Order: sequence, then structure tokens, then C-alpha cells
Amino acid sequence: MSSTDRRTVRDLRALRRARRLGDTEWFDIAYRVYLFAFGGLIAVVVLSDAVGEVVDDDVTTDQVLAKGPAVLGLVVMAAIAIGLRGGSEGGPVALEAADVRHLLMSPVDRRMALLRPVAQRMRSVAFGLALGAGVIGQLVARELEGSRGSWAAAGALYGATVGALYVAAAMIAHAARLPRWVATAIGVAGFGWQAAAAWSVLADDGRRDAITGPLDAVGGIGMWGIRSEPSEIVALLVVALVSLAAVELGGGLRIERLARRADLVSQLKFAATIQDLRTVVLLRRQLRSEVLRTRPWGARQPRPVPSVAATPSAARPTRDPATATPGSLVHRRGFASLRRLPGARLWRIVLLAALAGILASLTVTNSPLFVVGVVGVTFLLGLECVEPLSQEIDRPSLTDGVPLDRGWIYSHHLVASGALVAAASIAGAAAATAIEPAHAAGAFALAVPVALAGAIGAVVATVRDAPQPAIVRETTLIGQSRNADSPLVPPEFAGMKSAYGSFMPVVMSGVAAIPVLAMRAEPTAGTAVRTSIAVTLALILLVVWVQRRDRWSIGLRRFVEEGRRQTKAAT
Amino acid sequence: MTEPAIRTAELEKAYFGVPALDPIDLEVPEGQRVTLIGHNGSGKTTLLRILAGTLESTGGGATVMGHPIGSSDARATLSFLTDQPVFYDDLTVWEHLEYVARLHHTVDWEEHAVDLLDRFGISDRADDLPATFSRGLKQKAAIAIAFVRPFDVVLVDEPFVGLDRAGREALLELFDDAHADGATLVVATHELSSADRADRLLALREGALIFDGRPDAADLPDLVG
Repeated sequence: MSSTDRRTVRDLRALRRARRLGDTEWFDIAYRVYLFAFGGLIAVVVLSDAVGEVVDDDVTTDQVLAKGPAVLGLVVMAAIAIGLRGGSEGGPVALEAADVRHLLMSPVDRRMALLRPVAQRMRSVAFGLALGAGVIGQLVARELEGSRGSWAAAGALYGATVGALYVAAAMIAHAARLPRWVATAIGVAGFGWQAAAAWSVLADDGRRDAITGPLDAVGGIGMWGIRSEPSEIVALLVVALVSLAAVELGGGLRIERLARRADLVSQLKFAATIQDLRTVVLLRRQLRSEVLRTRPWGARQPRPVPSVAATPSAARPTRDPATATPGSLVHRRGFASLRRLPGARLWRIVLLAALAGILASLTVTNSPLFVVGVVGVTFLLGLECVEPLSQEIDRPSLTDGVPLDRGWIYSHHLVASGALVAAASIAGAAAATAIEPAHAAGAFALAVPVALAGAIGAVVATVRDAPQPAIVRETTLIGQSRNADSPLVPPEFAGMKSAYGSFMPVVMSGVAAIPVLAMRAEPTAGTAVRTSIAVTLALILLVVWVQRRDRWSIGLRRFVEEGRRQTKAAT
Repeated sequence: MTEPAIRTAELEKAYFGVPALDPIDLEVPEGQRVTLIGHNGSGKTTLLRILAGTLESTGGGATVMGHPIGSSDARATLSFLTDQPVFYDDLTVWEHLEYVARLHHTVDWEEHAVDLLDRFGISDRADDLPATFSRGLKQKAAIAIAFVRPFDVVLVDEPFVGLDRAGREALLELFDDAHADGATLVVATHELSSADRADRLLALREGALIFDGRPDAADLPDLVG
């Protein structure tokens, strides 16, 4: 890129930055950063104390030093594998659509044009992971030798390394145009090798036949709280060099992928800004180019169009009002939808279910805080499984074109999704059993209730996206037009209302926590039965809400309007 | 021998294994004005996007003014006006014009920009943000941005969408002027009324080139039917 081009791009970015920041007071920003840092520090300290022990009493510092590098190397390898796959799908950089259209379509050197966005991406990922790993480092430090500060610093350095390698792997996969299957194969092979190393080290009782993992040295950076090896210093230098080289690969990024990503990421950022979790999930699927299967699972060949002779009546079909509307029609449509889920999505469903099972097991045996993970993961599992309902909700004009109650259709869509959640929960039970074989009975008994309870929030999030009935849509409860300048809630509460609306579904998935926490407190068959009944009641309430939501909204609106009319008549 | 403005060799594209463009061999000489027609899904946009370098072909290759598509030299010589205008949210029309013109090292771009804004009747909106415009105004701004920089080849996809009568006439006049200046134009459109202004008509159907000849020799309704 010539100096003229560089100046042009720099001028534009400066202009846009100035416009974006506008009249922002730097003092105000500094004050917010200070508040955030102060609040974050207090939260870390308080939560650290609440978490309790994260390392078993019988684990010594020497054991952590011996086994930690291979285990932490596994996390690094997972990040690289995810990065490789992300890069093969067009990651890790997300540009603005206008940058792709105007900047990258001009004859400027793309490497130079992309240098800054790539570096920014690497910086932000590395910083985020450094922060997270630093917090974990100081958590671990309480039970090991060495100071809290040194473990936190080592954790932060390790986190930054993981972040840099994730972005570097994605850049390399993208620039090298690795097909997705190749990226996946490399990632799986690397992960398998490192997993074998970690497993052999964990199982090793002082023997010398442990497998050496390819990323043991990188994982060892996390141990710098009390010791460092020369090989780890070399590994850090290699990571730095690879990261720098990856940043320079911007010129090789594919404009088709960048353009596609630009469109989706702008929507994704908007959805994230308004805390629309469901839209975030939907857009992430699109980012991964995840499309439903053209041929359903189990179908050997496309179903042929029946060869029926055309008759005059075929041009204008007739209706028989006496024909009952079977719910099975909606169920069949739902199962047909599930048969088109792509393999990647099915794998994700199984992995999420397994993760939920592991977290549930850890909740029972370790810290109750793991239950937060159970709730979050089962919520995501539900979002992955509600495809038929999601398809219906996102096409309201099709639903409203049918002479049936919307709620009735929505509630019948829950059957297929519920069946998929229930089937997936077996993976959760199996994973929980693998972690703690003594939990097998409880795990298999409660897997379905926990998974279905977690999906409650997903159903609520999806159904809330359905358009409201016209009478409710057009005016607020106090009778003002939705477009009126004065909203129902004061502006001071608008953010709180938005956050409430966004996170309420996740909170409702909290029903999944009931059986898990109950089993932690009293692991008996009676507890399992009682909590299953509680979950069943919650599910019944959910179905009733889905069926009658519109009717309740209209009833409330009419009640309020009637009251207003009476008041007006009286005065 | 002079290199054609556009040359494709066995250029093809498939989406998820479904063919969108059958192998196409094409040569468009410099200065030719081409109209590209076809029904929805026939492959017009796919062909233009591949030539512009925003879409990767799954087979074959192409050059623009002798340069491989997507290369820096090809980008310098080719202007692409898409059917979906894209703007920075925080830049005015004038700032867009300045930015694009400077990226292409355009001489005396201000005079040219003023002329373009005048032609499309949006001079009074030059200091407004195009992201807030109506569909038609956005299209006018996008046309101005596409034509404010130097080019030898212009690829245009559905340019009349959203334009009012005055805008359509201004655009056709702009095409005439660019053509008279020796630029090569390829315009994909459903507007058959403007097809006879072209030197050459290409018709696509289900990804295959089904007609390549003079517009007056074509049965237009049949080609897009």
C-alpha cells in the first residue's frame, strides 16, 4: 500500500473515530473504567471465596506441576482446533460490510488494509482470555504453593497465549484456504494426541512411560507461578513469532468469506447489543454456513411427486369443515424438520448434553456453583432443539394464514423438540456416569427432567419472538400508540426492562437446577421422584402458557380498555 | 492482439454442490456495452460477482483487462455497482465519494462528484448519511460512488431497482456517456426496454448461456420467460 493509500485509510478511520466518540468526555470514560475495574475486582474476590476449593485436598503442588502442562496443553489444542475450524469457515476477522465493499474492492494492498483489524482481533481475544485465566490462576493459588499474584500473572500469560494461538490458527486456516474437513481432521488429530498425553500423565503413578503432548510446553506456561522450564520459554517465543506471522496473513483472506461474515456479524453485534440470545444463536449458525439438509436423515431418495391426473377440482380444492385437525400433522412436520438438522448440529446437541451431564455431576460432588453451567448449557441445548417451533415463529404470515389458533400450533411443535431433548439427555447421563460411576442411577433417572426443564427457557425465548395479536401490538396498556413518543416505561427503566426480557428465559431454565441441587442435598430415589414431579408441573405450565399466551394478552387488553371506557363514561 | 476487457474460460460456480453457473467461455471486447438478462436464479448476479472478485468460482478462470479477477490491478480497472447498496453508517455521501475517489487516486474528483450528484438530483443530500436514505436515494448515492472513480469496466447488477423515472433516465445517460468514453459495460437487468441500447445481449437460463448476440436478433420475452 502506498503512503497515499495509507494516509487515505488513516484519515477515514480518524474521521470515523472522531465522529463515533463525538462529545464523549474522557473523564466520564475513565470513571466508568475505574468503576468497572473496581467492581470486577470485588466480584472476583467475593466469588473466589464463594467457589470453595477447586483443587482436591490430596493434590499436591508437585502433582500439579507434573500433570498441569499436559492438561493445560489440551485446552491450548482445543483452542487451536476451534480456531482452525473457524478459519476454514471464514473467521476470525469480521469487517464492516462497507469496508469490504469500498476498501477491499479498491486497489489498495489488502495485507496492509487488514493489518489493523487482524491485530485488533488478536489483541481482544488474547486480553479476554488473559483476564479469565488470570482469575482462575488466583483461584488455584489459594491451595498451592506460590503467591496469588504470581499464579494470576502466569494464568494471564497462559490465557493470552491461548487467545493468540486461537486467532493465529484461524488466520492460517483461512489464508491457506483449508477445507473444513481438513481443518477438522487436523484439529481432531492434534486434540487426540494431546488428550492421550494428558490422559497418560493423569493416569501415571510415577512411571516414566507417559506420552509427551505437542503442546505440553505451551501448557507449562500456566505453571510459571512457581517454576519455568527453558522449553516453555522457547514455546512462548514460537507462539509470539507464529502470532506475528499470522497477523501478516491478512492479504490472503478470502473476500467472499469476509463479505458474507460482514453481513452476518453486523446483525450478530446488533442482536448481542440488544441481548437477543436466540438471534445470536441463529446468526452464529449462519456464520458457520450451517444449512438444513436437503435430504432428510434416513431418506434414501427424494420423495417423488405423486402422478395424479389433473382434474378441474384440483385447480380449486374444496374444504370439508367436518374434518378434524390432527395434532399429529404438526408433530409429523416437526419430526420432518428434525430429520433435516445437519450433522454438525446433532453433534453439538450431543456435546451440549454431555457437558450438561458433566457439570451436573460436578455440582453434586464439587461446588454448587457448577449448576449455573447446567442451566446455561441446557438452555443452549433447548435452543438447538426447538427448530420446528423456531421455523413456525419466524414465519408468522404462514402461521396466521392457517385457520387454527397459533398457540395450538406452537404447543404441538413442542412434541418433536421435546423428544429430541429427551433423546439427547441420554448423552448427558452417560457423561455424568463416566465422570462419577456412582451417579449412574440418578443420572439416568433425572437426565430427561433436567434437560426438558433447561429447555423451558429456550421455548420461552422462542415464543416471545412471535408477533403479538394486533390489538396488543398497536397500543400500550395505557392506550397509547406504540409509536407514541411517550413509552409505557420511563427511559430510566427501559434498559432494565430490556435486560429483564432478555435474561428472563435463561432464568426460567433455572428449573433445571432444582433436581440437581436437590440430589446434591439428598441423593435418594424419593428426591428424584419429587423433583421430577416439580419439573413436570413446570412443563405443564409452559404448555398452557404457550397455548393461551395470545388469549391472555387480548383478555388483559380488553379488560383494561373496558375499565378505561367505563371511567370515561362516568366522568 | 488486444486483450479483451473480460475473458472467462470454463468459469463455473456451484453452491453446496448445486450448480449455479455452468462452465462459461466468454470474451467481451473493450468498449462493448453488454446487457445480461435472465429470470430469477439464472446466474446473472453470480457471474457478475465472480467477475468482480467478490465470489470465488468453483472452476475455470477469468481476467478483467488482462488481469486475474480479484487482483489489485483488476480492482483498479473495474467498478462494480451491486443491487444492494452498502454504506458506512457514519459517513456522509460526500465523505463516501471522497474516500472511494482517493482510494482510487482519482484526479479532480470533486468536480466529477458534483456532476454525478447533480445528475441524480441529490446535491442537497451530499452532507447527509446515506444509511438513513430511502431505497431509491441509496441507489442514487451508490451509483455516484461507483462512477466517481476511474474505471475501464463497469459491472452493474439490477441498477434500476428503486429508481424513479428521472433517476432511470440519468442512469441510462450515464451509461451512454461511459460507453462513449470507451468503457466496457455489463448490465444485468430485468428492464428489457433498455436492452436495445446495448451492442450485445447475453441471456442466462439456469446457469447456462442460452443466447449471445445482437439485441435486435433476440426474442426477449422468450429468453426471460
